[in-house]
This record gives sequence, structure tokens and C-alpha cells, in this order.
Amino acid sequence: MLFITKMTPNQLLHKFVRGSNIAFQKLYDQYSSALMGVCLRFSRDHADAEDMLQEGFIKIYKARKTFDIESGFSFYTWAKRIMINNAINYCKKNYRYVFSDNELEIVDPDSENKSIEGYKSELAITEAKLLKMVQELPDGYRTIFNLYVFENLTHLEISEYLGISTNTSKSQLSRARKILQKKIEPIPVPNTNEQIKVF
Amino acid sequence: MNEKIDNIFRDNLGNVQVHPAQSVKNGLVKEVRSIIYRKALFSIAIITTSVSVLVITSSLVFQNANKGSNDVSHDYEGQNTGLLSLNNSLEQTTSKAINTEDDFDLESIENDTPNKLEPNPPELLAQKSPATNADLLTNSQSNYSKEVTTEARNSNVFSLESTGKKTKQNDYSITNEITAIQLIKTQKPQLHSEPNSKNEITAMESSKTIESSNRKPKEVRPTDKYSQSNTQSNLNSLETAPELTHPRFSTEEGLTQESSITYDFHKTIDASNELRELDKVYSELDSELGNTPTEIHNCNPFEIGSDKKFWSIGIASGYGNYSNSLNSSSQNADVQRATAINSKSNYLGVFTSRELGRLKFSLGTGIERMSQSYSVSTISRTEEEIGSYVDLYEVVIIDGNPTQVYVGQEYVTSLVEKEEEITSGLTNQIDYLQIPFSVGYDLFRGSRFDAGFSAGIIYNHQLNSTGYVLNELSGVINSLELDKSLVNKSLWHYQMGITINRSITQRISVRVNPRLRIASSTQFDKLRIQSTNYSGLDINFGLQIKL
Repeated sequence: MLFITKMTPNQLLHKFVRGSNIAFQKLYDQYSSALMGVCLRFSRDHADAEDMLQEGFIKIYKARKTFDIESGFSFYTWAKRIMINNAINYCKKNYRYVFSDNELEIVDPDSENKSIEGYKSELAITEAKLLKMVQELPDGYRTIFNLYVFENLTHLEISEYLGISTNTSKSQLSRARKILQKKIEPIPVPNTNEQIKVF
Repeated sequence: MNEKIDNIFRDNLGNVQVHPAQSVKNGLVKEVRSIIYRKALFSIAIITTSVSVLVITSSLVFQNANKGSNDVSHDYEGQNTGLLSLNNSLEQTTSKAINTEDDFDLESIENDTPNKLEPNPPELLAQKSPATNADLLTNSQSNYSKEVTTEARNSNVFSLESTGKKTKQNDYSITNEITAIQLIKTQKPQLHSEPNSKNEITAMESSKTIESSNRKPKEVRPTDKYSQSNTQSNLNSLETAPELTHPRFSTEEGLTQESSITYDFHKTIDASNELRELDKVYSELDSELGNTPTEIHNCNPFEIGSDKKFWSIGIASGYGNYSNSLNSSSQNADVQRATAINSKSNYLGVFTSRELGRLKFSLGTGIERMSQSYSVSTISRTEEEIGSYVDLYEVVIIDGNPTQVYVGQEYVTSLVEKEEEITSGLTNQIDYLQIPFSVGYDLFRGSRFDAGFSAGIIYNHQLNSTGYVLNELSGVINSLELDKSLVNKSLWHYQMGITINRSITQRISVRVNPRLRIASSTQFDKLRIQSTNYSGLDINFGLQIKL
């Protein structure tokens, strides 16, 4: 372990590409938290996110030889792309969601009320609560919302990425926003670094 | 509004970091390890399979090559002498021919006569079998060869040749005549196996028949269902069947020829009986002497039997102790320094060996770790400070007589040699990849022990080196950390020694090889002190598996 810590990031990546298990563990320690955040946004709950993360890292390890160290892309960018692909595949496989223009909002009214009621008693909406809102979105909405908002993809890119029409992408994003807006409507929009206040 | 919502989530969740549970990492590490192990196992499996295939293929190739060369020589011998060259290789070949022939016959009979063991098979056979010329010819030939001792032979069996296709049978009768003459002229028959002797005679005939009739040999193994006794009885029944005189096969012409064939054939029978008697004697001699027939009857003493040609693989370990006769450098006229390096080596490796009778070629590879320790001793001649007083006398002539007169004392110092050993305690360790090659010759070959000498070369390639070496600057010795550049990458040796093999089982043997090893080049470079060749004795132990 000491041997690894002495290495430069470039050496670490070279070791990882060559298949070193220790280098892979080191990279996991470095990037697992950030990639777990990505997985949490795409999943319904924490357990699913952990499954996604594990599957994604195995795919990262298997695909290590495709990572070009000299290309200039950071390991995180490359790993995040694999993780997102894996997350979408995971959703398709386990959630069986379909993207449709006429997709109904499958929102449990009780859960919506619960979530809002739950926040009422608190003074601030933390990251966890916002995350929970995203996780409670229908699977299709959540995926498109994630790709549009967090990955900065255009509707055209999303449509190509998911194999849907741009209109579907737009409508689903719109519906996702409406749901989220309902949940946080009473909340004054905070500044970037301010906490969101409930009422 | 949309932008605001997006920003809220982007700002708060864009870089959210959550530590996953430790179980995720544990599972991941486990999974990655299993991937690595699977990959390693797959590689090992591939390598093992490749090596196995290579070994099996090479052994088969060598086996076939040896067999082929023996067959060629025996065929040549047979042509020259006209004898039935019934040595081992031909026995195998002809036995195959017999089996092929018989099996083919059996199959054809069985296919046509499912009730072959019934009391009246000949009739049934004659009625049921449409008996093409080829089949009947085959059957008759098989019977003919097997029933060589039967006196009452139904000549009708041989009448099948009388139709337009009788040329095959004519060839066959000619062959028989030749065989009979050859057998009678045979001075030293070389039949070895009593039960097979009949078959061996048949084999020659059958093989020739196969050639003449252009039948494609069919590789069918005899089974219990087609036991030899059943086969024989079946064939006898077929042979003696009175109904087997189909008009197609019975003409007077054919019968006339058959009678002459039978006459010649009886000669063959007599000769073969004599041969069998002789063969009995040879077999008894063989068994008494404990030799195989090949060893007795092989005329060529320089021929290497197939059992003496084989490949073997094994593992070897060795231990060596070498001392360098290092140079003695003189620092000045009165001081000399002697430096010695004591090297010990341990070797572990694998080897493959090819044995051709008494000659053995061995090639190996392994890792040798050589540990060295240095000792430096100096010898100096110095003038001793503390000497002794010596009385001095002077000779004076008094009255014509020489007389010693005491004149006093003198302090005399003397030169003495002082030897001082300085053990510097410097050690180093050098790892080599070693590739030894040797050629050996067995001087003594016993049933369990083989002993001989071997000589060869050893190539060492430096892999790693640690420790210190001696360095000398202006006559002063100091130590220097060993660097790869200070050690020569390649090191060649000559080696010669004796080899003793002890068989444990038929395939496994142990080998001991004490030998003298002389380095042909220097081990170290750029250092004057160590730049000498070393030599010494080492001993190798090997476990050898015959392939």
C-alpha cells in the first residue's frame, strides 16, 4: 500500500490499465464517493445505487484497457461515462421503464404528500432531501432529468442516447420539473450557497 | 422557473459525494480477484493444454518416425533375403493386417448370417449370403490362412476363383508357392510367439492379398462378440459347407489349380510347423535369458531400440560451492594482500532430456541464486623492532695462531612475516536465470542403475543483484554497493561430471550429477579484485519422468 501511495496519479493509472488490483482499489477509494452520487441520482434508493456502483466499477475494471491515459481525459470523466451507461442499463433491466410521450406520471400521491410533509417539519432542505425528490421521480423522468440537468446533454443528445424522440425527451423533462416544482414550490429558491428553507 | 429548479438541483446535487458502504468495496474486490484468478486459471489451462498437446504430439511423431524407419529396414531385409522377416515391427504390422482382414470377414459374415452359431450354419450361410467374389475370396483367404494345419481341406472353397475374376486367386496361389519355398529355405526362422506364429505366416499372405485385391483395410477392433473361437468355428463351417459350390465358383479348371495350390500349401504347413517348433526353442531361450526377442534377434548391435529412445522431463535442484583463486596484489615490496571470494549457489529448475540409447541430451532452465562472501588477508614482512644482543668476536693472530677476541655486543633486529586476516563481512547475492545444456554418455547400464559422464555448457543471465563488492582505490580496499552495471549480464561456464541414474519405477528415476564447473568469463566488470573466473564443484539432483 505504501508503494502505491508513493506513486504519481499517472503511474497509478498505468498500473490500473495493466490490471493491478491494488491500483484499482486506490482509484476506487478516490472516486467512489463522487460516482456514488451519480448512481444515487439515477436510482430509486440507496441500495440500488450501491448495486449500480458495484456493477459500474466492475465494468470500469473490465474496460480498463480502453482508457487512454495520453488522451487527456481524466479518469473521472471516463469512469463517470461508464457509470452513467451502466446506470441506464440497470434501470432498463430492473425498473423496466419505457419512454413514451403518453407516459403517465406514476407518482404515488401518498409518497408525494409524505415527502412534502416530511420536509415541513424541518427548517432546511438538505442535499439528501433534494436527492430523495429526484429518486422519487418516475424512472423515465428521472433519467432524462439527470441527463439534461446534471450531464448537460441537449434533447437531441438525450434522444440519441436513449433512442427516443426529442419530443419525448422534452415532455418528460417538463413533467419531471413540474413534479419537482410541486414538491419545492413553497420553498423560497435559495442562492447557490444558501440552504433551502421550508416555508 | 425551469432554470431555477434546474439550478437548485444542479447546485446542490451536481457534486454530491456519498461514501458507499464498505460491503460494496469488499464485494468489488472479491469480484475483481475472481476475475484475475479466472484469467490466470484460463491462462494456466491454455498453457497446460498446449504443453500436453505438444508433448503428446511430439512423442507420437517420434514413435511413428521410429516405427516407420524400422518398417522400412525390415521390408528391405525381407526383399533381399526372401525370408519372412517376422521381427517385432513386422509382427505388429502383420497382426494389424490379420485383424483387419478377419474383422472384415467377421463383419460380412455376421451381417449376412445373424444365426451363425446355429447347428447348420454352412447351409444357412450358403443360402443367405449372396457372397460376392470379393467377400468369398476374403473368407476363403482367411480360412486358408487360419486352417493351415487342417489336413482335410475342402478344395471347393478354393474353386471360387474359377470365374472371370480368378486372377486374384491365381496371384494368391503364386504367393503361397513363393511363401512355401521361402519358408523351406529359411535357415534361421525368427518366430517368437507361439500363439501368433500361425498368424504371422498368415499375415504375410494376408497383407499380400490385400495388396493384390486392392481392398481397403477396415480398422475394426475385434470384440468379445467376435471371439477367436467363434470366428474360427464360423469360418470352418463356412469353409466346409458342401453347399458352397455355387455354379459361379465351380469349374474343373479351378479345381485343378486348387489341387496344386493345396499341394504347395501343405509344404507351407510343414515348414510352418518346423518354424513353430524352432520358435518354441527361441522363446524358451528368451524367457530364460530374460530378454525380449528383439534383443536376441536384432542382428545390428548399434541399433537403438525404440524403448531406449525417449523424451523425459524433470525437476532439478543443485548446490554449489565455489572459491575464486583471486589475485594477490602487492601494495608494496613488503606487503601482499590475498582476497578470496567464497560463493555458494542454489539452483532450482526444470529440464527436458532426450535419450538415444546410451547418449543423453539434456536442456534445462531455472533460477540460480549465488551468495558470495569476501575475505581479505594481508601478509606483510616487517622488521621487528625488538631484536636481541649478539656477542661479537674478532679473530686476531697471536704468535702465528688465530685467536678469537671478544670485542663487545651488538643489537640485531630481524625481518619476520606477519599474516593478518581481515574478514570484511561483505556479502552479496546475485540471481541468475540459468540455462544448462549437457551431453551425457552412459558407460554402465544396469536394470536399475545407469552411470556415465556428462559435459556441457551453462549460460547464466543476470536477473537481480544486491549487496556489496570489494573495490580498490590506490591500494586501499573499500566496499561498493553492488549495482547491476558492475555485474556482467551474461556468464558462461563449462561443466563436466558424472551422472548416476536410479530408476524408482518404470517411468520415474532420480539423477545425481556431481560436476566440476568452470566459469569461462568473469562475473564482475570494472572491478579489478573480483575480475577473475571462478570454479568449483556442485551437485545436481533431479527427478526425471519418462514420457
